[in-house]
Amino acid sequence: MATFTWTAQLTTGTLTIGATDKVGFYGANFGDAISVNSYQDSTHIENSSGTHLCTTNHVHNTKYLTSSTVSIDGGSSQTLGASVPTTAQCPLKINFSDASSVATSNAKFWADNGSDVNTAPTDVNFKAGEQSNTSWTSAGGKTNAVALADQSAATSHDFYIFCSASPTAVGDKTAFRLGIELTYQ
Amino acid sequence: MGKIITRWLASLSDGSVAIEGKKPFEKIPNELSPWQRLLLHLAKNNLEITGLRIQIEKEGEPVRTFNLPSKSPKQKWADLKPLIPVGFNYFRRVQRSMEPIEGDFGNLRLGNEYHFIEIHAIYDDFELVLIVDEDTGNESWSLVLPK
Repeated sequence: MATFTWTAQLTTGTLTIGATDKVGFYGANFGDAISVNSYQDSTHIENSSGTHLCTTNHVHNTKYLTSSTVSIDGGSSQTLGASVPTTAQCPLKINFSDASSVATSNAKFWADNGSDVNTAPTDVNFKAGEQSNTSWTSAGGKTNAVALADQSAATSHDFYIFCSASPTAVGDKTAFRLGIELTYQ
Repeated sequence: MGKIITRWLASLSDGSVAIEGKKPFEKIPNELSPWQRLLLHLAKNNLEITGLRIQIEKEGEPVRTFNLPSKSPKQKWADLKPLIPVGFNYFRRVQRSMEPIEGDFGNLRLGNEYHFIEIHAIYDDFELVLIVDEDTGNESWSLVLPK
């Protein structure tokens, strides 16, 4: 059956996100809180035991600066464009595969509150885009999702996503979920 | 739960019925999907789809069929004079999320994957969409989408 595989892209190599692995946005380092109204400075993956899996090769971090600029891995501001970030610099690669060669359409990526796909996360501003987009999308709720490009018939389809999150209030954020959906034929 | 198979069945203008999973529209690894091959078959033979439905099979037996309005003048309920579609379409839909983890605040973990099969009856100003839960075969939704 057709399936999605989520992969964290690291500064060197990639790491398939397993069923029990955990992904989180942090301040400067793994475990650091993000200041209210600031965007994350690092992105990390750990296993179910809490072991940090990207200790040396970190997950690429794409931090929202303005509607058209990004800081990649703590670097200076860059204008989003055809190669900013590159596909390899996007923190998320989401692969869709099917045994048959299928065309994808209406793919979308968003964040919601964990219970209603059309409601933005609670106390979190979420921005995202597909590689080569020239601006960020405020992707809170499925109705505001990033529209991912249609792809022609193939058995494997990769979607490269950059994303950034900012708390708007103090405290851990539990009403926060990421989602992807597409149609194919 | 027994194995569930969902498939589309397309009635064609030459009187034949194309069935997903049955020759010549079986699913073949690394080749065009059955629907893509059906589209080629229609173009090559100057045919059109006159009716489209979804069939649910459980443990080898068809247990449920979901029908769209048809172009056939002999369709069931023709006496009610339903609007006749100008075309049809089909998709499968898949969703997956990264979910919050109870008791582990701030982290996300892969959630379940959900699969749906959907067929569209296309009219001039709208589409009638029928979506069926492919994982259970039990639930369906009907939508009218403006064009």
